[in-house]
Parts: sequence; structure tokens; C-alpha cells
Amino acid sequence: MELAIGIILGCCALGAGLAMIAGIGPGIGEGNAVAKACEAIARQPESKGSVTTTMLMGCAIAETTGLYALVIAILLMFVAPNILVDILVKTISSL
Amino acid sequence: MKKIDPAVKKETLFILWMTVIISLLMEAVFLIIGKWDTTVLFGNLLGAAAAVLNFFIMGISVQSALGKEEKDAKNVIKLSQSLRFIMLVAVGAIGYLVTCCNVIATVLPFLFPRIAIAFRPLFSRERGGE
Repeated sequence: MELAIGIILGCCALGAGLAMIAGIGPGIGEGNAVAKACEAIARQPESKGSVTTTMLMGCAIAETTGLYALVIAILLMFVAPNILVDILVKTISSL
Repeated sequence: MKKIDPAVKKETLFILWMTVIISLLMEAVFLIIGKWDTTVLFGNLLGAAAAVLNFFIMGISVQSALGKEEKDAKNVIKLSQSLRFIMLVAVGAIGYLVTCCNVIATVLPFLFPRIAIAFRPLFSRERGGE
């Protein structure tokens, strides 16, 4: 029983850690996008307003992939272990 | 202190209102499935505030990065994203640790700005004019 619970908790933590790898990407992507936006504004300073708006929306969308991973990781860390352990206990007690 | 760009203010206001509307919808869903209690409300408030704050800080970062050299801009945005990510992790952890907040209702609002952006073209007045 303890071993099974340990495996469940370990797998949840491992899954959360793996999910958080996705948090690396958005920072790099946003950085590249903003660098190119700087280049565009330097070339055409009059387009600053529209470039800023587009950049904001683009950055928010790019960041969503990281947020999906964050939400999954938080649910795996805090919500899933309780549910899975409950299921395990119910299954073992019904045997 | 640097003046906030009107585009940042406008978009943050849009995200704020859309987050409020989607939060109300989420509360309604919790009511319908019979799982609503005050922890859902407090969790939703915490998560929605963090999501809007995250968007606003991102806007300020983008605004300040646009006035810099390419390499500096890249570094500013990377640093800002990392710090905002840590802030959201902390908010999620608070949602779990504080007993008056429901953790699911705390983390779901992090995704609301993305839903709001999906509806952005419907509210864009400049679309037909350009």
C-alpha cells in the first residue's frame, strides 16, 4: 500500500517536473519576437503603436503554452495525488 | 516613473473586463455542477487578479523593451517572463496552501487572457477601417 502511494506521488511529481519544461520555450520565443519588433520600430518609427499592440497580443498568446504547462503541473502536484490515492484506497478496500 | 503606453492601458482594460466576464461564467458553471462555495469565489478572485497583473506587467515589459537595443530587449523579456512565471507558481501554491481558496478556481483564471484574446477580433473597431 505504502509503495503504491509512493509510486503515485513520485509519478505525479515527475509529471509536474516534465510539464514545467514547457515553461522554458515562451521566454525564448517572446524574446526573439520583441527583438524583431525593435528592429521593425527602428526601421519605421511611425508604426510603434500598432507594433506594440500586436506584440502584446503575440506575447500573451506565446505565453499561453507555458501557462498550460503550469496549470497541468499545479494540478498534478496538488490535486491529482489526493484523487489517485483515494481511488487506490477504495480499490484495495473493495478487494 | 515612465508613462504607461496607451496601447498597454487599453489592452489591459480589455483583458480585465473579459476576465471578469469569463470568471462569472466559471462561477456559474461551479454553481450548476453543485460545487460552488466561498473558496471558489476567493480562489477565482486571486487567480483572476494574478492573470490580469501578469498581463499588465508583460505590457510594461514589452513597452520598456521596445525602446532598447535588440539584445537588451531579448534579455528584458526573458527575465520578465521568468519572474512572472515564478509569480504565477507562487499564486498557485498560495491557492493550494490557503484553505479559503479552491486550487482549481485559482489556476483556471490564468488561461482567461488567452480566451479573451481569442475573442479580440470581435471587439476590434479598427478592423474595418484599415
